[in-house]
Amino acid sequence: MNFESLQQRWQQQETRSEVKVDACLILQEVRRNHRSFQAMIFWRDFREVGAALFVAVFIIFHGRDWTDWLLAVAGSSVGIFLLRDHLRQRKQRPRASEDLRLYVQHSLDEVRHQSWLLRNVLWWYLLPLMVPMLISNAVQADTVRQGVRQSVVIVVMAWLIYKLNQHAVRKQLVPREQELERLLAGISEDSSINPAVGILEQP
Amino acid sequence: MTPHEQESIFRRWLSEHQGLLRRVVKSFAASAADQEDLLQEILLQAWISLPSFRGDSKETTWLYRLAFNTAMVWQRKEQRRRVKHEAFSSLIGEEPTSPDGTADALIERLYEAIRALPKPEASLALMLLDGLSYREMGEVLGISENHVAVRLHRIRKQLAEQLKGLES
Repeated sequence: MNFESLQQRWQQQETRSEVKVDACLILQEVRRNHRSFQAMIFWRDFREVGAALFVAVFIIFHGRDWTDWLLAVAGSSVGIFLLRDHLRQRKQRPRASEDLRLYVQHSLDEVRHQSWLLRNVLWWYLLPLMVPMLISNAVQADTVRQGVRQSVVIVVMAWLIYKLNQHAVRKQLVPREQELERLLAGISEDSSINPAVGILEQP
Repeated sequence: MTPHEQESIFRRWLSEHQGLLRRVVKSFAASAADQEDLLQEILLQAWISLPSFRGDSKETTWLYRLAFNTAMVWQRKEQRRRVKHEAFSSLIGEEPTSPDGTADALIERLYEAIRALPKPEASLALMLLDGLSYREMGEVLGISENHVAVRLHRIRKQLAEQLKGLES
């Protein structure tokens, strides 16, 4: 069988069978999925930013001295940083109707940004929160021994969070980044083009 | 685009381009459950992205892009996405079969061969069989016509190799 007859057979596959589709039901289902998708995005954003801002507001109203206020400022800063980053990334998010190469490139940019965020979690999340916590602890602790003990707990917690983030980068984001890089290279492997074959083979 | 226009275009696309979507779905997912899952995902993306359709490209080109991009993301998240869609499965209808009721062996083998190709090649193979021009394929993938031509040359060889012995 030559290619033309194969192509013809391929293109006839739908005409051989009439498939009934209930557009109303599908539309209803798609709308329902869209609503749940939007709700999921909203609650995810709310969780990420809301937690930091809630802690900040809570401390503002219940703080005991200036060290608590410092912690509130740090919490708000982290929340605002996350919110800004989220909004900026949303604008640059890949759109499903883009061409394949552009879509993969934008997905790759997105993954690289996520990777950058987690790699630098110490600077924008852990240190801004840990330093005020340690100061607050040093000022408010009843005894030196208690202060040291609580400080050690704070540092160990921060270290664990840092390690968890680096683990996520290694196990999830780096493989994803490599996969997208391979895909992008696969789409735009210009080096393999031999102009001599080129467009003459167009059917 | 008003919600009414969105709905009317979506309905029209659903009836006119159902075959295209089915072929993309079958080229990326093997089992019936996965195909249903992927089809649902593509339809959802089409619904979400429809308001951004400006008519700069042909409807089919736009739909191929959307379907391929969605399929690629879906494949990666396949395991996590295996959630229950029983309600949806009853809405889609039966698998296309030949008049005697059995699936076309050659076509099924062709789908298998396409699924075995790397993703960009699978997309090209599908568009080649669907009869798109090189320019349209280039628009979907974001590469030059010349590049499309070279890659199709290889794909044809690969497909021919895989289908050997099944021609009868």
